[in-house]
Amino acid sequence: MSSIILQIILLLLGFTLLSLSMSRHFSQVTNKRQRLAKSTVWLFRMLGYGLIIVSVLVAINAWGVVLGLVYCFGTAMLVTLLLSLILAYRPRWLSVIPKMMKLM
Amino acid sequence: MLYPFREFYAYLHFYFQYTVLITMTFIKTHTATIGVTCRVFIALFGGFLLANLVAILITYWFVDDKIDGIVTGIMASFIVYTGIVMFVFATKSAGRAAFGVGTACLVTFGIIFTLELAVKR
Amino acid sequence: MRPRFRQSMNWLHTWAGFAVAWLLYFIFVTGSAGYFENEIDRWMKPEITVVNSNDNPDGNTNAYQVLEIAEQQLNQLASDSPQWYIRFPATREPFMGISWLQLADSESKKTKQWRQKSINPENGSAVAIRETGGGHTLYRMHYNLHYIPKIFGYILTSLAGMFMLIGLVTGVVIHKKIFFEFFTFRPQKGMRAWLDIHNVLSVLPLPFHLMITYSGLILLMTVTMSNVIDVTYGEGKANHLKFYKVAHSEIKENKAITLLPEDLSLKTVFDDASTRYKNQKISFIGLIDRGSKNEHYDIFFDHFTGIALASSVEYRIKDHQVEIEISRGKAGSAARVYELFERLHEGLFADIYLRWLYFISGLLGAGMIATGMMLWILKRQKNACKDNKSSRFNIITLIEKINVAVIIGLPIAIAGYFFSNRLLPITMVNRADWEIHCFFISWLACLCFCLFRQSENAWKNMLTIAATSYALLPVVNLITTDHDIISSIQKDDWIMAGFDLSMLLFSAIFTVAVLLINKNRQHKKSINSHLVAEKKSAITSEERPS
Repeated sequence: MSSIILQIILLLLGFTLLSLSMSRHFSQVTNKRQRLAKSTVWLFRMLGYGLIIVSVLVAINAWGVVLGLVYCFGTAMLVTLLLSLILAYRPRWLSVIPKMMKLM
Repeated sequence: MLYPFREFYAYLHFYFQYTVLITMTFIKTHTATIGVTCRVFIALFGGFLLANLVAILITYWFVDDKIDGIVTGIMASFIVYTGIVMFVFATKSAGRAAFGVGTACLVTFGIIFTLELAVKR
Repeated sequence: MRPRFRQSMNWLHTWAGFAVAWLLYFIFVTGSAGYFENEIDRWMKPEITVVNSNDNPDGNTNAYQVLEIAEQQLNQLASDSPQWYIRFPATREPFMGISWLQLADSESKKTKQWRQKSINPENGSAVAIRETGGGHTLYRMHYNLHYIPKIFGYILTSLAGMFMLIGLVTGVVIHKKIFFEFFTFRPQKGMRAWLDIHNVLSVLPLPFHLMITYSGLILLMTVTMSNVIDVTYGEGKANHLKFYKVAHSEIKENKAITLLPEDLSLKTVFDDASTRYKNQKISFIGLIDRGSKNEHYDIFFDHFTGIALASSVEYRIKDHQVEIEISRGKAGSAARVYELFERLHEGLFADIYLRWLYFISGLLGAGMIATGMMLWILKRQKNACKDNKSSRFNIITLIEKINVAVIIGLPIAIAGYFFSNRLLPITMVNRADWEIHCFFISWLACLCFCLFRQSENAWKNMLTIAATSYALLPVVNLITTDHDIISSIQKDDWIMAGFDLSMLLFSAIFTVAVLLINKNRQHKKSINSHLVAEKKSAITSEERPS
């Protein structure tokens, strides 16, 4: 149970960062048209891919190779589906991440 | 009296010409449709034949374990089939598609045939 | 990539998809329902008494009691049957029961079939279960297509699977920005929105789609590609049997145990197995080939290691000694690969979370096919609008109507199947067959209904019918049996309650769809009225100066 929740959190964060590394979705979230700086894009991408890889490793560690991959792909499907719905209808929910970026 | 069936011949001649004319006009007006129909047939049946041949060819690769060969061959054949269908619809004309699939069939069949001969010897 | 190549692949994607879209939709929806086969089965057999394993921590004494009752019942009902099975509560099927193979008997007009009864451990009675197709028939429909001969069903399904594989590969090829549009869904943009949904539904579960299609093809490969087997093993059933025998051969481990041959009985076998495998719960005990030389006991466990079911154990008498035989997996590597795909396809190992993910992925696949079909129709309609060909009857409209009947009609038909389970008389002859007839009759009724409606109205009406019928299912369950949602939850009968709640969930989804259509239409109307008003004011303002 806890591994499933960990999976969901890791993948959700990872894919959110990946989606925000694209200017189109970033503008959706902040509600302003803007081009992202190259460094931000790279940061988001690296962090996003990193989190996804970590979640794959965690899943393989928890369930073994085959079952772990099944869990990972399944959860990724769920998470990306959720994300595309959020981005389409409630993009402001994700504005936490740009705000946090500003604080840093 | 020399040509007792003269009228019949005349009729036949006319009929033949008529058919040719109809076919020619049909081909001229429906080139695209005929091309597509041909491609569909080549993809469905030629593709199936070639996929089977490739699968059989793969079974020869596995000398020790025939079962492994059969299963690997069939598993690969589904991907091969997909590739063939994509090839058939991607080439410039139905003729080229037929030529491509036909040659591939002949080549694989030839290899299988020689292999079979070699095995029997 | 060259543009012409992409164009031809687009053409192939469109038409390969169109050719088998409805068949694939049927396969995907019934196949997805198949992931809940056991749960549906339990709902369709309301007579079953659920046993909660946490009720009695000392499980074994209870199990002995059940074994005794089961043996007694089997002796009474199935003394001539060669195969007995006794079921113990498992995670997905928390109940006890007996099943046996009834041999054909021309005198009493019995046909060869599996019979089963549920056992109530509280009072030790065997309860008859209504004759029903259950979840199994629904699940089997996705590859045997029910009415046609099995072999044609397999071939048609495989062909559809092949088209699906082609559709997937060409889809990936023609989708230029597959990674950039990973999350993109722009709802208010007409045709573009449909394309977006189609992309989202196909790209997000793409690993699932590829796996399910390819493994589906592999599961039926011995039927479709039997020529390849012919070459090595020769034609005909007998020769193919040789192939299966070698291919499915297993590594087996035999061990003599201390149990005395004359003590061998259901009880001792159960005892031995439950002490030998302490952390694996027994789900079935079978007594196979009764009365013959080969008589043996089979033990199955409700336990998975990774994605594989824990191997079963056989008890048999050999050389005046009791021997156990444990299967250590398939011998050949080909068989192991085949098994991997089979397990991934069937998803038997999945826990409740993964099961829902499998189910959702399957439905997304169905949605992908449905939206693909919508796109096909919308494009043709747009072209027809451009060409200004507005004949009263045209083929596109007809296809659109049938499309509605297939896409929404199929869920309605499944609801009809569930309704028939509750509403057909219990004593009806061939009841299980009639349930399936009800399925197809309700589908046909949907088709007739849609043909006589304008397609826009048809969407709305059909969705309303679907929403109502799914909302009514728990109600009918409440009226015809004593299982309502609240009491099911109180009794910890989570499968029954879960089924009813899921039906309400589906009903809610259909209702949302109806509301969305209404909203969309109002939106369109208001735009239209705006346009009309603007035109009018323009006309009046033009008229004024004169």
